[in-house]
Amino acid sequence: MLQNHNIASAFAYSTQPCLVLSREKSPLIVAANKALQTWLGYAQEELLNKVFFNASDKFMAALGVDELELSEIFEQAIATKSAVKRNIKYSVTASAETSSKQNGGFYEIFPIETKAGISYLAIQIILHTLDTSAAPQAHKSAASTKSVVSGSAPNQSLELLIDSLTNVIFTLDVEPTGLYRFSFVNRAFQVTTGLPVEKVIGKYVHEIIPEPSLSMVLEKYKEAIEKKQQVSWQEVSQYPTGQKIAEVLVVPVLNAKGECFQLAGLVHDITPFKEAEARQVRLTQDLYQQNRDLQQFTYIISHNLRAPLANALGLVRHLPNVAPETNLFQQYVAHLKTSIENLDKILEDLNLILSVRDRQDQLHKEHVFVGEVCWQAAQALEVELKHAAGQLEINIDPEFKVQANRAYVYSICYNLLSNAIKYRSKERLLKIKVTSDSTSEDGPAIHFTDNGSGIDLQKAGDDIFKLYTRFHSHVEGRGMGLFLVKTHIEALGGYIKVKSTPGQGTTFSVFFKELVS
Amino acid sequence: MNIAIIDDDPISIFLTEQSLLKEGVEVELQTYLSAEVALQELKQQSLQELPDVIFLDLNMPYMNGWQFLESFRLLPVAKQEKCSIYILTSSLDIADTEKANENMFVKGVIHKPITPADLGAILQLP
Repeated sequence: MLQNHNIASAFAYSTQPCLVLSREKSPLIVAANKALQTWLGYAQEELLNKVFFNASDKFMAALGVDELELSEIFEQAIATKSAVKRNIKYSVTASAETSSKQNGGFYEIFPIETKAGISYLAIQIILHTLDTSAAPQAHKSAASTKSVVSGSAPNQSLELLIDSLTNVIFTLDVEPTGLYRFSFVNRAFQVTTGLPVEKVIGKYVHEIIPEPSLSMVLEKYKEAIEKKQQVSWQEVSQYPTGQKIAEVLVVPVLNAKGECFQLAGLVHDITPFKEAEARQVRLTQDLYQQNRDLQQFTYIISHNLRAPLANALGLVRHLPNVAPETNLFQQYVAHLKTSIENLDKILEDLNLILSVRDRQDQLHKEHVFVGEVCWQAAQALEVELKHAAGQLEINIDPEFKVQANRAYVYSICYNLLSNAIKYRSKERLLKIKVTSDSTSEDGPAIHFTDNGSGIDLQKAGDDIFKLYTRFHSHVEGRGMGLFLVKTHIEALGGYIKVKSTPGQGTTFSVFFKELVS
Repeated sequence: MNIAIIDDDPISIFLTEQSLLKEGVEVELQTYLSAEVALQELKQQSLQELPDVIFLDLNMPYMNGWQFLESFRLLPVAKQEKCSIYILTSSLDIADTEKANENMFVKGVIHKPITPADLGAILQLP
């Protein structure tokens, strides 16, 4: 834990006015350096251990800021763990005495971290016309951090400032042999990488950074030195603290002859931004999907739902003029019943489709033996199969096991088998073969092959999987089956393919994501 | 007058038939559940046999209303001029209506269910 007097001494001899506050609801003044006392004419005892907002009227007036604004800056500096910089404002309410002290400049408020977290806030005032002999020194140091590195003129306030930043800052000495040696790293380096500062300073880059990152950064260093300009890139690294995505920037520091003797580097952790970006992409995809669903929904409402409704409407309008107890009247009633039943079926379909989409994320999945489920679906279709005098052969490897929702696998098998029976050829006896292929390059597959009437895929294209699209006018059907099969297999992370020759038969291949052992 | 109805929905055909009967118009009616069968028939019919009015549904399996109109383009011009095609659809989709109105063979778009007013307007035309 930093002691108060340590902090006070860090700023004591700075030529710029400095104030250090404790991080509390009513901050206490922990340190106020000589430069500050001289600037505003405070006595040491007027400030130390006093509640900041009670003792600093002159101070706030000189900066042209009020208590509310300062409190906000404090919160911002703590929340962002970074320095907040503001220009000194000329305030109309300032007294003659304080306004004469307003030389123009800026002030910076930054947090100071100890082991216990952010414990202090420092306020440093940089005045443009104050002590010009010291100012350029400070500016030069800030640009190259050289004074910190060489230790020739230890500027403790600067070191503290650099150490309290959450961005990694480092400098590398460029040696005549072409090697790079760490000459300085700040505390954030340790926080980010988990490597202690003492074990890094003095070491060569190739001793610290592992491949494959090493080759990449060496290339970038070379580029910065050759081009004599800053080079930046993004890198993904594994640290003890987890995977980080960082934006790295290196600047060559040149000597009087224009040769690069040092590289100054800054690493900015952009992991949160990258994560936000990825979330944004996901959100956009979801939105796109939702929008497409909505369009399809609208299509169903305006086309498919409207059809039986229009029929019912027409029938009802005619009915009052149809003599009851006639044959025609009975026809009207029967048609009306069918229309309303159709209306209900479409609503049920809509409900089913929407519930598949909705539950995609929280789908209950278990180990499913596909062969077993396929037999169950075949049993449910036994009557239809017998009626068609068809032959069904199921040859699925008993070990063909997937992580899936059982009801979906059942629906896939049932719909494909039921389609094969429905669309059989009138010219020959129906034969259906179901086989498995666990070693296919395209993923573990189940093939449903029939010798039915086939589909002209050149005409139909992708439409065959679309909702309420039908390709046979002689068979009952609502165009729901293949749409459901596709929706279900996709919800399980797989996909479906179709091959067909009109007049010969069709093969539907269902590909699962992976088998489980 | 010859009238043809092309619609895959038998209830809809029943309704149109009954509506025509109620209007008391003397008509020769041909109904088709499949657009493809209707097209074959149109190709073979003589000019006299051809319908004066065709009520065409849009949403049909295998060959839909749009595809029918595409194929209709290939008939001899004399045949095309004999038949007045009216789209009779349950769709309320504005895009469908606009697309239909742009088609040179389409004389009008009627939304199901067909009304006496619709029929009155159409049957006076030819």
